[in-house]
Formats: sequence, structure tokens, C-alpha cells
Amino acid sequence: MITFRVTLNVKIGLIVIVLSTAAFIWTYSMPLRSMELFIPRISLGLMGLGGFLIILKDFLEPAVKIMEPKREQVLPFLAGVPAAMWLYGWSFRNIGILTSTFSFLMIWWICISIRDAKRTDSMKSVAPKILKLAVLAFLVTASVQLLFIELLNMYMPSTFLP
Amino acid sequence: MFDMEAMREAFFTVFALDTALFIMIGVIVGISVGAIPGLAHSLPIALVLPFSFVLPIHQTMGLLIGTYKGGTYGGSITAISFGTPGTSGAAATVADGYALTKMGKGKKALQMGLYASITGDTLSDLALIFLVVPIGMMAPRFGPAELSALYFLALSLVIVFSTENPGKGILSAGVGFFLAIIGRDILTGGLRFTFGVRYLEAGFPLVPLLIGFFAVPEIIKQIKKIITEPDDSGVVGEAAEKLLNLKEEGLTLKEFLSSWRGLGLGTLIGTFLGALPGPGATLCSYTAYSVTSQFSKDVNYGKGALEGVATAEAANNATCGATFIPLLTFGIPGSSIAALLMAALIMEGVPVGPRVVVDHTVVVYTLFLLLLLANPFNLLFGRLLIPVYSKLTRIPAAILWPVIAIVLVIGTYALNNRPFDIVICLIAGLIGYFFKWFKLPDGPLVLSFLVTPLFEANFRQAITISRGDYTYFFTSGISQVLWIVTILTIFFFVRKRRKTDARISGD
Repeated sequence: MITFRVTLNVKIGLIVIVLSTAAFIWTYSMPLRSMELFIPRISLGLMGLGGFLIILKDFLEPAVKIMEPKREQVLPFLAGVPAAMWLYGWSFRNIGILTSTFSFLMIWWICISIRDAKRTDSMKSVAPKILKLAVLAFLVTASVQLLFIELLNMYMPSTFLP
Repeated sequence: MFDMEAMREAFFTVFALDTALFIMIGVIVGISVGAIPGLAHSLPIALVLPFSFVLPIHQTMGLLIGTYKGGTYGGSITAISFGTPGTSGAAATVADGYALTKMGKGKKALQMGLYASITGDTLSDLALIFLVVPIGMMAPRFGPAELSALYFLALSLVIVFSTENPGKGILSAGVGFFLAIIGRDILTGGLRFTFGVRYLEAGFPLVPLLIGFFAVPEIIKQIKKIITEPDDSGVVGEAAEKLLNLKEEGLTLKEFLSSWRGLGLGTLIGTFLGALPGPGATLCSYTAYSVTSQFSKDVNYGKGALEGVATAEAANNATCGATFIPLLTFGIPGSSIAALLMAALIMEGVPVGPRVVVDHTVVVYTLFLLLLLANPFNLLFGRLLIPVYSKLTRIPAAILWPVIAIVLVIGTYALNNRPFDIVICLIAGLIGYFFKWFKLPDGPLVLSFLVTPLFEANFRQAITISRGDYTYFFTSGISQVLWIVTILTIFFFVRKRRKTDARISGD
């Protein structure tokens, strides 16, 4: 007997089918010629077919062990890491490439060093470690300036700080 | 067929100090990154891609080819030293390589890995040189109908080869198609799916997409690991490092030559499968490894045989030259890394496609010479720096990844000095993360993204020529053969997969 299993694959497959079908229908209300929409419709059709086959595989092969994606807390990192990278992009264009590169690296490394020191109960050695990391951050910042600004002549808008 | 004047020009371009310097930098970066587990070797290629805007083609391609070859070999260092493959392509090397290290023969295994890689790589480059020009000369005979059939075949191959679940391959290809059609229509100029964003009118930018798709998911994954698993995010293989004694006796010529079966089969299978769109280095090395196991007379095969290391390494490096065969003949990138190399060629103003051998002969010869020249550099730095590379795994992740993130953001901005490219890179990164999490293969997306403009142009040209008659796609002999091959390939793989699934269910 085939039993329908609502796995994560099935849920994502269903979402893909719904979204691609909605977009496929939407293309008929677009002010474009049918030839202009031929490939877009193929792409949406492929997405829908892919979603359908993903569901079908879990549905038709109940004896096969399903390799489900891991359910783990990634949302904060999915939002946080790209946001931090965008913020760095904004800051080097508006504050200054040297200041923002050095600050970003130092903020990150200080936080990690303090956390590790607390974890291993070695707060006494944290100050020299941070000093070493400051030298490293300075070297990375200088390399970035040398590579992108001096060698590659990357355009930089004028900023208040270097 | 052979253009002596073009070869002379290419020779003097390549055999110059600046080119050698860029190949050397590429090889060192490639091996270093390849030797660090967790760093995919598409990452350094994605990171150096922005340089193609400022460097001439021989320097850019020297840098990228050096990185590619070095990275493909570099994965074997940690696979042999610590039992942790630096790249997925070196996974087949672990069984025999790490077993040899535990038996106190780590140095022999590392040297076999290096020599087998260089052998496979060089023979594959020679196969490329002898095959590309004849195929490339035939390529202009392909009209719009034949090319449409060929692109369809390439996409089908990538989908069937790249994943256990065909649905996931098709979904990945669909997303690639969709991203590629965003922007102005190639014939009429009508705007498609730009959602009013002015920057998207020129299309979804290629390089920020590739950089973000390959590098950002890795950054997110590693930063998460650093924060949530502080005990595991430090160094790799610290304990296993004690096993590796680099002062022991090295590989002898007799031992190297006695693995001729593995070297030959690895090179042959790696070259053949590497020339097809889809399989990639991992599948090639596993296929060669299992085929050789049927012929090997070494009773230790799989438990610590030099022949096992030779097979896996010759096969995964033999894909390096072979992956250029479909790229330089029809503009079809055989793997994700070939797609990155294709992007670099496009940015250098070389319209990769069926006419590239005829119209850009000097560039094609330059690539041949660069591929050949990168091998001695790979051999030299692989041999000299093995002790250094096996210590690279000790770089703390908390220091490495923020630096990579910073270089990535500035590199993306430096392409066009456009902040919007950073946004595209991050969006592509989120798409890439979803792909990794849901185990969607990246090959179909990248291939369809690059092939869709060519496919659409040829398809619509064919429709215009035939005045809307779809039978035009099946009239010529070449297109009939291509459609038959496509149908047979799909049929063969569907049947094979059903059998495999049935066997798993039975077990």
C-alpha cells in the first residue's frame, strides 16, 4: 500500500509548484509577445515539473529512505551574514575603505576572542591576542588598499575618513 | 587547419615572465585553498574573476587555470594526510591515501597523488589540443536547429548526471533559465521580469551571480559554525598530523610505473567523462576508482594501495583539460568551474561559442599553452610546498572567513563600481544557500544560465527561418543524431536509476 508522506521535500515541492504555476498564469497577463515569453514559460514549466518530480519520488518510493534536508536554526545567519556584508559594502563607500575594513575585522575578532577567552577561562591572555589580531587586521587592510585601490585602480567615492 | 602564425603569436604571449608569474600565483592560491577542507575550489576562482576586467586575457586565464589545476590537485593533500578531502573531487583518494599514511607511507602517497595528477592533467590537455581543433572546425556547420538540439542535449546530460533526484536537477535548470531571461529581450528589447528595477534591464549580472552563488553560502555556513560550534571551528586534523612523517622514503620510479593500470584508466575515464557536461571531478574519480578495482592485481586496493591513489588523482585532474572540449567547441561549460572560466572569457571579449576556434584562434592556442604550462608549475610547487600545505589546515576559521567575506564584497563592487552588484551577489548567495540546504545540484543552474541566451537566440532564429514550422528542428542529419542521442541518454539513465532504486528498496 502506498502511503503519502508529507516530508519536507513534499512541502517544498508543493510551494515550488504553486509559485511556478501562479507565475506561469501571470505571464498571460503580461504586455509581451508570445515569442518573448516562450523561454520564460519553459523555465516556469521546468520549475513546476521539478517540484512535481520531487514530490513524486517521495510518494512512489516509500521503501527508499528519504534524505531530508537538516532542520536547523539558520534564519538568523541567513539574515545576519548578508546584512553584515551589505553594511560593510555601504560603509567602505561612505566612511572609507581603510577605516571600515579595519573596524569590521577588529569588531569581529574582538568579539570572538572574548567569547573564546570566557569559554576557556583565559581572560588574562586575551589582551595580547587582540593586539596580535590588530596587527593582522592592519596588514589585511593595507593589502586590500594596495590590491584594489593602488593596483586595480578601483573607483572610490571621496569619503570623510580614509 | 593548423594556423602557424596564430601559434607563434600565442607562444610569445604565453612564454613571458608576466604570464608565468600569474600562473605561479594561481597555482599557489589553488593548491593552498584546495588543501583546506571546506573551501570549495570554485571559491578562489570566483574570487579572482573580477580581475578579468583589468588584466589582459593571457594573465587572467593564466591566473584562473593555475588556480583551477592547483585546486584540483590540492584536495588530495588533506585527503591523504588527514583523511579529510580538501575538495569533493579528492574524496575517492581518501580510502587508499589515508590508509597509506596510517601505514607510515604518507610521503609515498602524497608524491603518487602529485605525479598522478600531473600525468592525468597533461594527457588530458593533449587530448584537448588534438580534439578541439577538428571538432571546432566542424562546429560552424551547426546551424540554429542543430545548436538548439545540442544545447538541449547538454542540459539533459547535466540534469541526469548531476543528481540522484531528477526533479531537483530540473528545478535547478528551471531557476537558471529564469534568471537568464531577466532583462531586455534579445530580439525585440521588451523588458522581461525586471520588476521596475532599472539595474536589471541589462540582465542579471553574470559575475556577481557566480561569485555570490558559490562563495556566499560557504561564508554563511562557516560563520554559523564559528558561532554555534566554537569547539569544532578551529583547526582540522591536528591529531592526525602526527601520523604524517615527511622524512620517510619517497616514491620510487618503479612504484610509480607499477601503477600504470590505474594511471591509464584514471586518465582515460577522467578525460572521457570530463568532456561531457555534468559529471565533474567527483563522479569521474569514483567511476575510475571502481573500474580500476575490477582490473587491479594489487590485493591492498581500497585498503592502502598506491594504485588507488594514482587512479583517483589521475581521473580527477584529467577533467581539467577535458572540460574545455565542449567549452571551446560549442560554448557549453562542462562543469561549474568551466562556467566560471567561460564567464572570464566572455568578460575578456571572447564570445565563446561554435565559432571561437575559427574567429579567435590565437586565444584558443593561448589557452592550450597556458594549460600545458600550468602543469610544471603545479608539479614544482606541489613538490616543494607539501610540508607547508599540510599545515594550512591550521589556519583558524574565525580569522580566515571574515577576510574572505571582505575581499568578496570589495571584489564584487570593483567589477563595475556599482553597489547594486553587491545586492545581486548577496541575493545569489541566498539562492545558493537554499540549493546547498535542499541538495539541489548547482551544475544545471549555472549551465542553463550561461546557455539560455545562446539557446534562445538559436531557437528563435530557427523559428524565424522556418516560419514557425517546428519540424525544422528535426530535418538535418546532425540534429536527428543529436535528438536520438538525447532520447537514448534520458532513457538509459531513467532505466538505470529505476534499477538502482529497486535494488535499494530490495535491500
